[in-house]
Amino acid sequence: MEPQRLILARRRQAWLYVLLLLFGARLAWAFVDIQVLSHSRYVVDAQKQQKKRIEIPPERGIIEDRNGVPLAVNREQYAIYLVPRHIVDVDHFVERFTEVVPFDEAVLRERVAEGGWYLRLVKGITRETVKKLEEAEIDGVGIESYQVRHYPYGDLADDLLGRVDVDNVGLEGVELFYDEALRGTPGFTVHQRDALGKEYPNFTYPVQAPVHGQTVQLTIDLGLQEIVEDALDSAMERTRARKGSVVVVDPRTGEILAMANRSPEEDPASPRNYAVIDQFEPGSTFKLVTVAGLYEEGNTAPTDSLFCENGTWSWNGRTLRDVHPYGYLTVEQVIEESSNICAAKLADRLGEEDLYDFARRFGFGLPTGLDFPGEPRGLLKRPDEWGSMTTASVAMGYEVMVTSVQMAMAYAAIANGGELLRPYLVRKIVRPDGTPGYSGEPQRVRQVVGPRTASLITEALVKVVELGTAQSAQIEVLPVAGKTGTALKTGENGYERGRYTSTFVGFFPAVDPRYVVFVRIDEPQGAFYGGAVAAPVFREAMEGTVLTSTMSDAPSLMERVRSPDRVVWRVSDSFTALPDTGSPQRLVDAPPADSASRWTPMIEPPRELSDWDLGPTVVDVSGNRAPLDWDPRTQVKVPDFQALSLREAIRRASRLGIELSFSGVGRVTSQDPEPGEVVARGSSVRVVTDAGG
Amino acid sequence: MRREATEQNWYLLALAMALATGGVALLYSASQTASGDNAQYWQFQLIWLFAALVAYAVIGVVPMRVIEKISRPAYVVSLFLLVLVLAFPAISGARSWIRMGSIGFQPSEFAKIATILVIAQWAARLKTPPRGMTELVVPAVLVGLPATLTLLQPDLGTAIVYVLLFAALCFWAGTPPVIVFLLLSPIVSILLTFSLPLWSLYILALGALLFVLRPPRSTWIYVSATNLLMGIVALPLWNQLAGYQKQRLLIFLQPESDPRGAGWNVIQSKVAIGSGGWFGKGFLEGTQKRLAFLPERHTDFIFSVLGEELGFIGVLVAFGLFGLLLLEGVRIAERNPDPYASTLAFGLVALIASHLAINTAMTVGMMPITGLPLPFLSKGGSFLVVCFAAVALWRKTWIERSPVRR
Repeated sequence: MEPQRLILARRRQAWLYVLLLLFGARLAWAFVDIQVLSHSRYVVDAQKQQKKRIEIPPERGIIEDRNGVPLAVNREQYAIYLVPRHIVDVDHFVERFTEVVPFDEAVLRERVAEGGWYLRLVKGITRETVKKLEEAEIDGVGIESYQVRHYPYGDLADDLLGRVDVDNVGLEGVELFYDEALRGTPGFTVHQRDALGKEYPNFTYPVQAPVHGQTVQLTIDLGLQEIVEDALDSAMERTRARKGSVVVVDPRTGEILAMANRSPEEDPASPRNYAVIDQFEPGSTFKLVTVAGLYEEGNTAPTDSLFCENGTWSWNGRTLRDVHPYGYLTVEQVIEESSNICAAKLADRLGEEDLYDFARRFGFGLPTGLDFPGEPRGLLKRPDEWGSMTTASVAMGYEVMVTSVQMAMAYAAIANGGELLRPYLVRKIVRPDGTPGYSGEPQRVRQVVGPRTASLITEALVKVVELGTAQSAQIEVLPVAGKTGTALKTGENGYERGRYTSTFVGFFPAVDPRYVVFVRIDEPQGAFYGGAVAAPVFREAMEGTVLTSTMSDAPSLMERVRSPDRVVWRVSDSFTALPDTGSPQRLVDAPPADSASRWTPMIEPPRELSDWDLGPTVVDVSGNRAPLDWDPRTQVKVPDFQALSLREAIRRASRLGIELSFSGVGRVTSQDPEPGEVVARGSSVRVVTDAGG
Repeated sequence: MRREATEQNWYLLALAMALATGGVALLYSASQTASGDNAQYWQFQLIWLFAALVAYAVIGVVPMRVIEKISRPAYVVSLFLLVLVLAFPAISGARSWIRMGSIGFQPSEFAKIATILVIAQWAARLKTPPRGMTELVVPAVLVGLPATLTLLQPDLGTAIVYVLLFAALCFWAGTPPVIVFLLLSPIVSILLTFSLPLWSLYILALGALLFVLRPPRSTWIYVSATNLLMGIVALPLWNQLAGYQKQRLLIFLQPESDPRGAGWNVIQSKVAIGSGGWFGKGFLEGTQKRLAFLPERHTDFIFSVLGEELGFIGVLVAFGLFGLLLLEGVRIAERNPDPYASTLAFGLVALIASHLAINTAMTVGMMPITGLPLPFLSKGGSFLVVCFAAVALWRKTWIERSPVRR
């Protein structure tokens, strides 16, 4: 065969070469397309599968009381997870795993059969199990830690603190309202991940550290909270009521100092803050509005008297009744004795427009602005919606719906000289680095009444406790002011006998009040008058504050108590010093002759004050007093911590201003210094416990 | 003899060495993974490279006449080995390895060369270029035997290479391409049975072609009978394919249908190459490779490692080297008037080119995954030796290009 001819013959098949070239071009185009044109898309694809963004959860912020005692903290817990893809021999695995962790074999096999790279098996395992698992080194088993919310004081203030869900997101209460501050911002790190799911730290990407949650300091005083809850507990036991709630507010600032709720009906897992969310008809405690309105308008004096119709009065076609029939009463006595008939007459004198206006000014019918989720506005109808009886009803505290917080703030306005304040629950929020993030400041809503009206009302309220319906609220050492309320509750057929809302609101002390307390007992069994049911809660709580010196300024309070000679109770400008009369006297009904323009009250000093002349004394629970040979302002008597649970011991120590140093858990077995020893405030007491260490 | 031993085609050898050493470097890179279990295949490859150079030298001293003489025995031996290999245990689904202890080799690699040798012998004895189909029966049987045996392993990729070799060698022997096409048309028929409309169109076009060409009756009967038969038996035949082969074909048609499973390889290869961009991530820096997303990165997908780390530029350089090597092969085949040597040289070009085309097209998803190694670059001693044997035979063809002058 001729080679040259052959070559020429091959070359004539040019279309074959074209075909080859086309294939080559197509192949080259594939690379151009993938590497040049679609390059960025493939870079994204590569990064998507090669990088794993790992979130670093932030620690949830702590909630603490006004003295820095932690109320909500985080606890590290452990969970077991499986990597089913790493489990080669299932039988062997099940055998080894169940040796260490008691676990149902069938269930375990089922979970392993699910496959995959990650499968959370059990949460909340103990430290010992963690240790044992780590030692066992079983393939396909991992341990991870996570944080759970922990409330060191159990159900104390639980309805206030609220709760979080499994992902540590606030669901209710302060946890919900301040969730954003508490939550923090998660950080993240980027790991490289290979095709088998193995991860490698990557140093080319920066690690974004998490920003931990902020510490929320409440206005709540843990010691007071506990006293209030104890007092409410005993009232609930006594009255077998459906619900009870107490609000304690500092009338000078609007800080909520304590807030307690009880209901035997509620689900303990989901406590509700009835003091904020419940709306009810308040009854006589609402008479405040009418009287304050009249005083503020200036045409009515406390000593003006009016006829109370001897207990039965037909008005606008309806019959009003009083519990006790009264003839003539002064305006002040109307409050004191809580006459419905005269309250209605006074409201009529004030007029419906003004009555409505004053109720609004006191904050009724609008949310108070408390920093707590779910606060309703209450119900206050506009005068054009009022019926013929509404004026009388409102005067007596019916046909209006209020919340406990609204009531407490309205009375706080009287206690502080006429200013309605916005209540608040958070004193400050501190960032993780210690810098302040937010600081709760007193906020004035409006001047509801003038100082004169406020002091006149206070005057009347003191008499309610001294002489009137609330004598059960009297506290031995200091005068208090207060008002009771007993309202019929509505049922299917309107107001029904037998179901009551019993309320009491009080100031303590009556002069320069530190606490305004509103107590509501819902549907008490047996006795139902506010004075009998609700007032004792106030008294117990306030006595408790004196006895346990939780008040930050307790020593100065005590000082005033033990100076019987100077019966001077400076509160505001309306109160001035009295001449030294030398003997205790009851409140005088009329202003002294020498002060025509200023009405100066004289308040009876506490009974048995002579005891206090002896110097600081201690009042024990049974009321016995003994002279003190130490100074309670700077010193503390070490209590007996022994046999107490550590939790209880910490609580007591924090209340007394003692530092407790401890290790381990369980019950206290010994302590140093011994009980009864007097030490300086802020000293440290070391305790030894029976478990752990 | 002296001239044969000493004269070199340095250009050819330099191109081959550039590719082979680049391959060792790429294998070294492919071994660097994050998980740390880095099989050091590059060291073995280096040893095999020496072995390949020894083979190159040994072949260099053997005269072409001797090679022509051993063509037939070599072919018979390789057929025997292809039968023998079926008796050895399968490795990842295919019985393609003959193992003695830790040493093993793949007879199908040598069988390809032996087949080229015997077909070159057939071509050398031709008086005139084949005009009709009947004249192609001998080479068809010579290729059909090893191709069928490789299909039994089963190794679809190599079988396809045989078909391409057959077409290229027949063409080089002067057969009109249309005749070669008509002979191979049943294979096209099989591939098109996946889609009835396409297959119908193909049969119509084939009919038109036969009408225009007016070939002899035998050709007419062969073409129509085989094509129609293939259309009918394709489905039972499809069921005969091994599971992974079916999957590979299906995945080639639609890789995204199962990105976590069978489509994984193609997708990861494309991600590797695509994320390389113009200039690549840098030698040893490929993340797809390092994090083990790239499968078979030492063998089938070594080109993807190149694409990821050296980028489009690296791909162009590699294609450039291969292109120059193959063009030199074609030039050598044309220059040697001896039909045996010329056909041999061109057969080797076809062998290397078909591997290159199938392998690289596979890495970008243009062809189904067939597991064919990339010449000079992929891990694998047998094939590296075959590649250098090809270079040695090219050199020999080059040196003996003018027997008239001797």
